Formats: sequence, structure tokens, C-alpha cells
Amino acid sequence: MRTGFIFLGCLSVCAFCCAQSKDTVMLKSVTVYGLPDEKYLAGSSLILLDSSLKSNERSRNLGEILSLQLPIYFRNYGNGMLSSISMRGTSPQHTSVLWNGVNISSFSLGQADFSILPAAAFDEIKIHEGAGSARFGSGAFGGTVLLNSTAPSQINSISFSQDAGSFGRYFSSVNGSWSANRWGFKTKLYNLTSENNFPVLITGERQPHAAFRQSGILQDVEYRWSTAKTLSLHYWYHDADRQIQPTIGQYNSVDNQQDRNQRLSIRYQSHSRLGLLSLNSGYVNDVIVYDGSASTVIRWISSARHEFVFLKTFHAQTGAEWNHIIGNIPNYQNGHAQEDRYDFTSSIQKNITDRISIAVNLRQPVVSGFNAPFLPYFGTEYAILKSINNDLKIRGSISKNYRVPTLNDRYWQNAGDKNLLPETSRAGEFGIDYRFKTFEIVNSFFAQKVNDWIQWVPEQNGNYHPQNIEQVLAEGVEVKLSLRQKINDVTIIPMLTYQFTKSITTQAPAADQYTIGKQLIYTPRQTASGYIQVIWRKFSSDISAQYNGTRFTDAGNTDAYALPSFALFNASIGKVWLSNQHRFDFRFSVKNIFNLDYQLYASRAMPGRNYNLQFTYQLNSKTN
Amino acid sequence: MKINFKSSLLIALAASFSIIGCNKSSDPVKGKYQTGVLVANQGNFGSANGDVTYYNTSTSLAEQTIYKNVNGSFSGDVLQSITLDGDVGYLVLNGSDKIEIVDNNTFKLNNTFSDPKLDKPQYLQVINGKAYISVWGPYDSNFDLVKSYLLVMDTKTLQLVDTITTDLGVENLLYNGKYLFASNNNFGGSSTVSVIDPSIDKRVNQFTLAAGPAGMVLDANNKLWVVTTGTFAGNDGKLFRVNPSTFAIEQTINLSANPGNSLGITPDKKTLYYSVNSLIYKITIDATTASTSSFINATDVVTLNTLAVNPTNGDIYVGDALNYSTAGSVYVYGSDGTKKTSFAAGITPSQIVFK
Repeated sequence: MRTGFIFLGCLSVCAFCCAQSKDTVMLKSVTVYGLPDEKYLAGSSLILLDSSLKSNERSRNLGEILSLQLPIYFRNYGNGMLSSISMRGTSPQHTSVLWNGVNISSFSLGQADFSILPAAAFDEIKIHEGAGSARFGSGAFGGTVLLNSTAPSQINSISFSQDAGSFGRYFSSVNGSWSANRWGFKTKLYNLTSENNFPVLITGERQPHAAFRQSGILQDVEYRWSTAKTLSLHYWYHDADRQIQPTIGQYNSVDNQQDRNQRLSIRYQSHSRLGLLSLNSGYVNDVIVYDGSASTVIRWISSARHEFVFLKTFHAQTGAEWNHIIGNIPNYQNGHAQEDRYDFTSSIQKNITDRISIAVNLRQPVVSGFNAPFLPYFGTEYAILKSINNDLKIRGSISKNYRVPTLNDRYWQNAGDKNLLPETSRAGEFGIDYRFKTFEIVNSFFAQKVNDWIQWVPEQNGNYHPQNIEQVLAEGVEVKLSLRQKINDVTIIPMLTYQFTKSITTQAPAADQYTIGKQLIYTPRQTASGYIQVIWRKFSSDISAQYNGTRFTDAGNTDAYALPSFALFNASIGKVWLSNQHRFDFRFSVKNIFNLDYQLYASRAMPGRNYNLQFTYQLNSKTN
Repeated sequence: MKINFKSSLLIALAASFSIIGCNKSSDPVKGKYQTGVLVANQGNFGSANGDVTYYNTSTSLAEQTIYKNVNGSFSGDVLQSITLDGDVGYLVLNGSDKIEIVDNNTFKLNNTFSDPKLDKPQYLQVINGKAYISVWGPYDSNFDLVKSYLLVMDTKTLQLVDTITTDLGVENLLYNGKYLFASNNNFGGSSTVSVIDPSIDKRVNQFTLAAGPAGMVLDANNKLWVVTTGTFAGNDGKLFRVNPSTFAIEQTINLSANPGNSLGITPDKKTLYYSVNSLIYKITIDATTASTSSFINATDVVTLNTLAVNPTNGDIYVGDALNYSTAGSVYVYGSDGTKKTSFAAGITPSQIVFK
């Protein structure tokens, strides 16, 4: 009983650290009810991205850094161009991206463009691998990317970072963090420009028409009435302008695209003896201007969530969310679409013993046009071994998931269908995790069957319209090995991940029977990534690699059109100087060391060997 | 070194075989693709994997991606058409906005033509050393065409010498020895055929037919036939017989359907072929109404994307694009309508050329 209480207490503290608006003020008499997502996702894995690698790669986009640390494939339509994620054999619309709890995937396209998610914008990046609609909502089939702002630090600081790289690439950022009394502020500014005129290895010519710029500002404000009541605000404006990189061998391209994304998340949290109450409001304004034609999607989001403990040992969350969506898109009927979506959720977590835990998440969405399915997630973990040096854990989860058709699927002029069914999936995962001291091995076996998979199908007159026509089975295995070894004053941190995924069409309409049993396009069967970091005194270096197997680009898996497998290598070396309140960082990186010609999307060139210099200066306030 | 030796041995062997081949033929062999059937495969839009399938009618063997096999990479984005002029082949790429100029017997790339004015090119016709290229031109912000035209290029210098404005969405070209006819389709948004006099490079006429002029042929009487594809799902496609000198419409035949873009004609030039979905119809040049029953029901074909007639034996070739996102096929029917054979093609076969 007493150990249970202590364990719960640990969890509570942990919860407080990991909660999205982190409160660093020590709690006195208030019991904490919030548990981190990890606990409610028993049975599956939630990965926190390595912060030093993220910091080294701060001028890169999220796609570039995720593909180095996880077996995730990104189909990039060129360098710095549209970057679409594929996790665990699913398509880009099957990974949801949440920023401070707000879904920031495009509601018109149904996917996030990872090229305009700069790593510099996020304090904390977490990846939930596998299905999780019950917890994260529509589209969480292959996984969920969680991007969070952390609370302003008690130490005031300002930092400046500058990168200069090959092909006219420059990145600048300024970060400031300040807190006083009940207030905390944090500001980030960034700007990235690239001429992006790299030599195309296959032709020897310079890549034309691929320059881009991205700028943005993030502002976090936190106000603490007391240790128990917090109001936090997160605002992010991202502005991107790019020339659309044409296919190899196209010379007179004129297409360009601007993206303007505003995101606001406001959260009020209150702890009381009844539990933890969170009230959230959000606003998202996404504008895409393609060749001068603007498409806008605006969303207003409100949600409330209460977390509490019942029967002493059951942790529970219950909540409701409302999304009001307005699409102003010229290609829609009357150029306009509007709808409301509601979600009701409950989650329960319990530690049955100190070795066994279970978690249940339930979600009932309400969407106009169809009866949304009820989405349960059930997960459990059992610690077979649990000691200081040895942990052995088995885990498993089963879930039902869904994806609401995109606004384009529902409202496109002369094609969209409001009564299109949502895609649904049934997913299962089983895992064995083992730790010996600092060596960890995480094994996952997963399978997911997606029904009513939406495809835009050509009609006889050549027009396309979306239909719920396919069934896809994605199954595979994933292994992650990591170690942190200290030898005298050298620390070595190797990490390796590998995934084998078979993702095939199992049902298709009569005209598409040739797709049965074929691997989905741009879904490599084998993916691996890894790195070795070596830290010695004030020096650090790393070598990272990324491998992707053959990728088919046509639904019939024709070898002639497949992109060959490749392994890409990068390296960097850096040094830090610390002096009182000052910190200087310097880093030199080489990307694509072996000057490999590779493509992530058919006929879109990627740069050969290239270099980057990074310099960072940080000034901290004096610690008391 | 060992590998090099082996491969040079192979090359030597291959060379000796081709010498044997030479000796058998009365004509000197200009290249592997000197005679046979070429299929232009558009490829996936945006993936620049348009390429050519070669079908050898005597061996019944097809070779895929011959351009890539010879030149190392695909020809480009959306290979719309191939035009043969002597030993030269012009590959018109409407996504890459360029024309790849090859030796059409070897498919070795000799030149690339690209120009800011070459915006979504479609078809090409060579007349007296000048190439006339039908060009859709730019889109406005709603992806509607704003001006379409023919570009006139000197085939020796590869310099543009003229621009001739047409109606929107100009596509197919036909030269009857006097005039160049250019059909303006624009998905049924245009209804005209532009008439160009190549001796002065001017548009001398533009006559109106019905929504969506597309494929054109000349019949045994040298009359011009044009198929119109009609309005969106309007079942209002038509066939027109036009006097090529006065541009008067001599016959209008309602098809009560939306036919495909292709119009074929038998070697004797007395019977026309057109398609509606996977049904192939035939109609004689003296007919006044369309047949209500089809000539061939191409049940194997999912998406009939193009149709062409072998001018030497009258075989009917149809390209099946499936769902436009994987390698398609070509089906061959005899002039009696029976299925003879089929062979694999690339993604979205869009034009079949006989040489």
C-alpha cells in the first residue's frame, strides 16, 4: 500500500515534469492528478527525440531529423520541398501531428508538410509509434508526432544561432526566455534562406528554380496565479515562400508556393482536490498560395479535460473537444466549406501491481455526414524483470482507429463526397523491451488493417473522385538498439533502428485487381537509421546514417519505375566553450559524405555532399 | 579488369550478332528500333518517368523504357507524343516543357529544346524544315488556360521563328500537304479547328465544329475527318467531315456519347474507328449515321487511352492506361475485330506510332 502510494507520487511528479505546460514551481499541499501520455499509452512506445541531436540540427526541418533517428520514410518532392511522412507502412495522411495539443495537419490535404516544421520551433519532440486514434484523434494510424513548448526556465537566457551552408543556405535564430514573479515568457525567432542551386549529380547541371525562405516567430506566455492555477499561451506564426523544384531536366519552371500558418493554443489548468482541470482554446489559420491562388482553412478549437483519481488507484481522464472548421478554397463548391466536429474521450490507467499496468482510452467522435465509429484503445504492460541493472518488459495493445476524409475529399467541386465513410483500422502491437544497464533493446511487432481506404479513382471521362474502395494490411517488425557507454572521459552513444514493413493492398475494386498483394508506393520494406555520438570533454562528434530499401512508385510495383535502395551518411564535429554565464557552441557538419545520388520522390533531385557551419552563443542570467 | 574484359567480350559478341543481322537484311540497319511500333507512355504526372515502349512486330517482343535504356534516365515528365521525321524523333514532354530530339532508330538523345514559351507542349508536325508545336500555354490562378498557340521552330538551328495564336487547348495536328489543321479541344471548352498556311506561317482560317475537337484523319477522298469529344458527361460527341479547301462541313454524325480523343482509319482510308470507353466503333466514310452496335468490345481494356491503326496491315492497337498509376498494356486486334495479341507498355500509354 505504502509502496503503491510512493509509486503514484513518483508518477505524479513525473506527470508534472512531462505535462505540456510544465510548472517548475514546487507543489506543496496540492495532489497532482495528471499523468503523462506514456502512462495512458501502456503497451506502445512513445519516443522522446534526442535533444542534443535536435540541437545540432536546429536549422533543419523535422523530417530531416526524424529520418535520422527513427525508421520513418519521408517522400520529399525535392530539397526543402513538400515532405510527406510514412510511418509503419501507412500513407502520409495516416500520421497526425499535434502542436501543444492542436492538430496541425492540413485539413484540406489531410497531411502535414514536414519541410515547413522547423526543428528550431519546438522545445520537445515526441513520437508515438503506431495506432492511437483513441488518444490522438483522426488520422493517428501509423503514428503521432507531438510537438510541445515547455515552460519558461527559471534561468533567464538569450541565445543567438547562425548557420551558413552549401548552396547559399543561411539560418539565423534568436531565443529568449525570461520569468519573473508569476510571469514567464519565451520567444523564438528564426529565418532560413537557401538558394538551393545544388549540382544535380545525374546531369551535372545546377538545380534551377528551387530557392526557398522560411521565417517564423513563437511566443509562449505563462501566468501562474498560484502553484495550482496556470494560464499558458502559445502562439506560432510561420511564413514560407518557395520556388517549386521541378523534376530533373525541366528548365523553365515558374511554379511557386507560399505557406502562412498561424497557430494559437491557450490553456488554463487548475489543480484542486477534485482533480486537474484543463480548459483549452485553439485557433489555426493555414493559408497555401500556389501560383497566386490562395486556399485558406481556419479552425477554432475548444476543449475541456478533467483528470482525477477514483477508487484510490484508478487514474482517469475525461474530456470533450469541439472543432469548428472553415475552408475557403476556390475549388470547392461555392468556394467554401464549413463543418463542426466533436470528440468525447475517456481514459483510465491502473497499476494492477507494481509490475502490471493497464490503460484504456475511449473516443467517440461526432462528424456530420456519417456515423463516426467508437474508438477504443486497450494496452497493458508486464515487467518480468525490474531491477537497477535489468529490466525486461512485455507489452501489447489493440485499438480501433479512424481518419475523417479530408475537406478536399468531402467538398471538391464535382468530385467531393460528404457521405464518404471515414477510413477505419484495427491495429495490434506486441513488444518486448529489455534493458541491461544503459543498453536498451526495444522490439515491436505490429499489424494494422485499414478498411475503406480512400482513393481518388478516375472515371471513364477522366475525372477523378474519391471512394472508399481499398483495404490495406500493414504489418512488420521494428528493433531499436541504444547504448550510452562512458569510458574514462569519453562517452559513446550508439543507436540503431531497423524496420521491416509489408504494407499491401488486400482488397481493391475490379479494375484495380493488379494492386492486390502489392506494396504501397513510396513505402520501403526495409528502413534503418542510426548514429554514433562520441563526447570527449568539450568536444562532440557524430556519424549518422539512413537506409531505405527499394521504393515502388507505381501501384503495380513495376521494377522499371522503382527507386533503388540507398544509404546516406552524415557526420559532424563540434565544440562547446563555457565561461560563467556564457556558452559558445561551434559545429561543422558534412551531409551526404559519399556524394550519393538518391531520390526520395521520383525525379526530384537531392543534393550531393554539402557542408554546414553552425555557431551559437547563449547568455544566462546568474543563478542564485 | 576481369569484368571489363568480360563485358568487352559481350559487346564484341553482340556486335558480331548485329553484323549477322546486317547481312540478312537488304537495307543497312540504322538501329535497333528502325522498324516496329513505338508507344509513348506519359508516366506519372510529376514523376518525370515518361518513356517509350518498343514493340517488334516480327518477334512479337516488347522492350520497355527504351529511352532510359539508351540514355540513362527517363525522357521526362508526361511524354505526350512522338513525331517521326526521317531518322529524327521528337519526344514532346508536356510536364517537363521540353522536346527531346533523338535518332529514332537508336533512340540516342541528340538535342533538347526548351524555352519559356514552350509551356505544356502537346504535338509536333514537321513541314519543310520547320517544326510546328501545339502548346497549351499558361494557366491563370484557377488553372484555366489563357492563351494557346503553335510555336514554329527551325529544325536545324532549334530557334523559334514564329508564334501562331490558336484557340484554347490546341492539341492534334494534321498536315494535308497544303494546310496544317490544329484541333482546339480544351476538355470541350473549345469547338474550333485552326487552319495554318505553313508557307506564310499565318492562321488563315478557324472553323467551328462542336465542343472538343480532337483526333483528325484524311480519308480516301482527301476529306478531313474530326472527332469532337463533347461536353463533360454530355454524350454529345460528333464526327465531322470537312472540305479541306473551303472548310465547309460536309457531314455531321452524332455519336450520342463522349468518345475518346483518337480517330483511326483503315489502310484503304474508307473506314474510320473511334472509341467510347472500351467499345470500338467503325463507320464508313460515306455513312450518315453512327452504328448503334460496337465493332469490338475490348473487355480486357480497363481504360482505353489511345487507339491507332497499323497502316500496313490494318491491325487496331489500343493502349490501356488501367488507373493511370501503373504500367499499362497495348491490345492488338485484327481488321476483322478479333483479338490478336497484347503486350506490356509503360505508365499511361498515350500514343502509338508505326514505323
